[in-house]
Parts: sequence; structure tokens; C-alpha cells
Amino acid sequence: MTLEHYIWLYLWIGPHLLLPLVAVLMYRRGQHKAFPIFLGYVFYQFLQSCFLLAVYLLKAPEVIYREAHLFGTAIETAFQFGVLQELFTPSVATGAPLRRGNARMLNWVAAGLVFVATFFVAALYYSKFDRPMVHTYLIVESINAAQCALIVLAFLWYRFLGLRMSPMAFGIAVGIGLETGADPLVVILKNSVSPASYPRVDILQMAIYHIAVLVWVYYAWVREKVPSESNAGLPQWTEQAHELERIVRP
Amino acid sequence: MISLIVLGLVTVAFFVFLAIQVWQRSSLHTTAGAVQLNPVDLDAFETLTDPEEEQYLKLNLPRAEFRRVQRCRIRAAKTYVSALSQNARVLVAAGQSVRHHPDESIAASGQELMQRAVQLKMRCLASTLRLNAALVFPTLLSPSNSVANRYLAAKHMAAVLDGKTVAQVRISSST
Repeated sequence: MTLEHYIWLYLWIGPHLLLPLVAVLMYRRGQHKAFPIFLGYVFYQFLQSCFLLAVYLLKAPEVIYREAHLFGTAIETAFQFGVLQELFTPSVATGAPLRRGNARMLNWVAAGLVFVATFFVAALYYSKFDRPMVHTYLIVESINAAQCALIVLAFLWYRFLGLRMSPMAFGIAVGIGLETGADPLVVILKNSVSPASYPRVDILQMAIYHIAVLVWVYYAWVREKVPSESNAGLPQWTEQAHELERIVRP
Repeated sequence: MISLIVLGLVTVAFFVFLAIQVWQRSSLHTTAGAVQLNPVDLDAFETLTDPEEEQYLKLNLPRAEFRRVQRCRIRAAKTYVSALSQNARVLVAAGQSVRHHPDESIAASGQELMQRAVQLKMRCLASTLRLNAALVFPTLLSPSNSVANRYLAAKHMAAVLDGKTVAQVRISSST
């Protein structure tokens, strides 16, 4: 076994061992109520990695591993869309009608983005349509591009509203962003290097995932800081509100 | 090859965007901005977007003249909506800053203010889109003034919340 293999094995097992820590920290900070789908996603990723590791260690036929991985990726993608919806929801509403309206709007936006991303990716792969696996790539890349766009939208949405993301929401957004953004990077690298270097590209992808998990651990652990200036500035702000009242209603 | 370059550029742009978000968040901890509201004359805004006023102008002015006047009124209304939108942003931040206040009533008021201000912000966005459409078709579309009522409701909440917080600060300092 080479050093590269040990690194590869660590990057496979290490980040997944940190996932239960993310769940525990979320429980301790009460974040599981705000992000139940993300918590489910964390558990799912842990269980999936345990299963895939068992398949690998038991030296089961490769086809079983590949199909389990493909099926697992499909469920993972569904979870990721759910998590992205959670990112948008707490910013706007605690009331059920507003949440429903917000979720409906987001579903339409997500569908629209997948549609646009499919066109974008199809245009990129237009000259390679006859090659094997290109259609699978097309679907995966379109979904990844749509998810990246949704993450950008989440940040812009918070900025537009003037809201500050909670640490957990911020961590989730950055972590999922790293995870989904790594996939196109892998496609590019695998198209640019020789097959002998593919394991190194895989190591890079796993390292990015490791960083994403560390980001989740950090933001699940850190407490929300309420700027002390906000309370100190309130009396001054009252004066401005009264001034506004005078101008508005003379 | 071109497809890979384009995909590469988009991916790099995305990672740069994420890095900027992380950098901005860490730098925001040290620089908290002062809270400031823009003065907005809601009476003037209501007059600008009043359907009766618009009807009066429509009946008393030649068609071309009405279009010109209406466009000027819509442009002015857009300035007001922009100021209201900025104020909504301030109210959102004010509500959010006291959302985790130890006093439950203040925290609840902060939450309510934040929600109202978010709704106002979204209404401002819708109004801006509507005003832009009205600017193109001034005779067909009429601007709405409902945003002013929402603003008043949110601002009233802010005044109540602020009174509570100031009172609490005074009580804490006297004990």
C-alpha cells in the first residue's frame, strides 16, 4: 500500500466519521429544529458511506458498488434540494401560509434553473452527444449547475432582504456549495489528465468534501454573535424613527 | 475543449463567489454599520400612486400630455419605493438584532418586526416591477399604493419594539 492509498482511505473514512459530530453539535445548539432535512442528509451520508465501505471491504462485485453508488447519489441529490429549500425558508417566514408560498415559489425557481442549466450544459456537450455516458453527465451536470445557482441565489436573497444568515445556514450553504461545485471541477480535470492520474483527481474531490464537512462542524459549533452595537445604537435609532414620524405625519 | 474552458470559468467564478461570502462574513464581525432610516413622505407617495388622482389627470389632460405627466409621477414614485425598500432593509436588521434578546416580549416583537419588514421588502420589489411596467405602458397600468400601508405597519412595530428595548435598558441601568 502506498502513501497515496492511505490518504485516499483516510479521505473516504475521515470526513464521514465527523458527520455524527455535526449531528450532535446541531442537537446541542437546537439547530435540528431549524434544519431537519439537513440533519437527515447528514445521517443519510453517514449510513451510505458505511454501506459503501462495507461493500468495498467485502470485495463485492464492482457492479453492486456502482449501482449502490448511483442510487445513493440520486437520493443525495433529492436531499440537497430539500436542504437548499431549508436555507431560504427560515429567512422569510414562521407562519405556515408564508412558508408554503415561499416553498412553492422556490420549487418553480429550482425547476426553472434546472431547465436553464440543462440548456447550458447541453450546449457545452453538443459536439459529444454520440459518446457513451454523455447523457448521464448531462443530467448530473445540469442538476449540479442548478444547485450552484440556487446557492448563489440564497446568498443574494439574504443580501437583498438585509438579513444576516445564521451561522448554521451559512455553513450549510458554503459546505453544499463546495460539494456541488467540486463535481464540475472533477469533470474538467478528468478530461484534461491521463487515466493514470484519475486517483489524484478523486483525492482532490474527497479533500474538498472533507473541507465541506469541517465547515459544517465549525458552523454547527460556533454560536450566533449578536453585535453589541445593535443594542447600543437603538436609542439613537429611536430618535431617527421619531424624526421620520414627524416628517411622515406632520 | 471550449466547453471545458467555459465550465472551468463558471466553476472558478462560483468558488470565488463562495470565498467572497466567507471573507465578507468574517469582516462584518468587526464593522457593524450605524442604523439609519431615510425620511419618506408617505402622503406625497400616496398622492403619486392614488388611482383617483390618476383618473382626474386622465380626464383633464390630452392623451400625450397625460402620458408624459404619468411617466414623471411614476419615476418619482420609484424613488419613494427605493427609499422605502432601503428602510425595510434597516427594519429587517433591527428586528433581527433583537430576535435573540433575553426578554421574550422584545424577542417576539423583533421576530414580528422582521417578518413584517421582509414582507414590505418583497412588496417593494413587486412594486418596483409594477412601476417599471407602468413606465412602459403608462395608460394601461396604474401603480399601487398598498406598499405605503405596509410600511406604516412595519414602522409602527419598530417604534413599539424600540420603546420596549429603551425602557428595558433604562430599567437595567437603574437596578
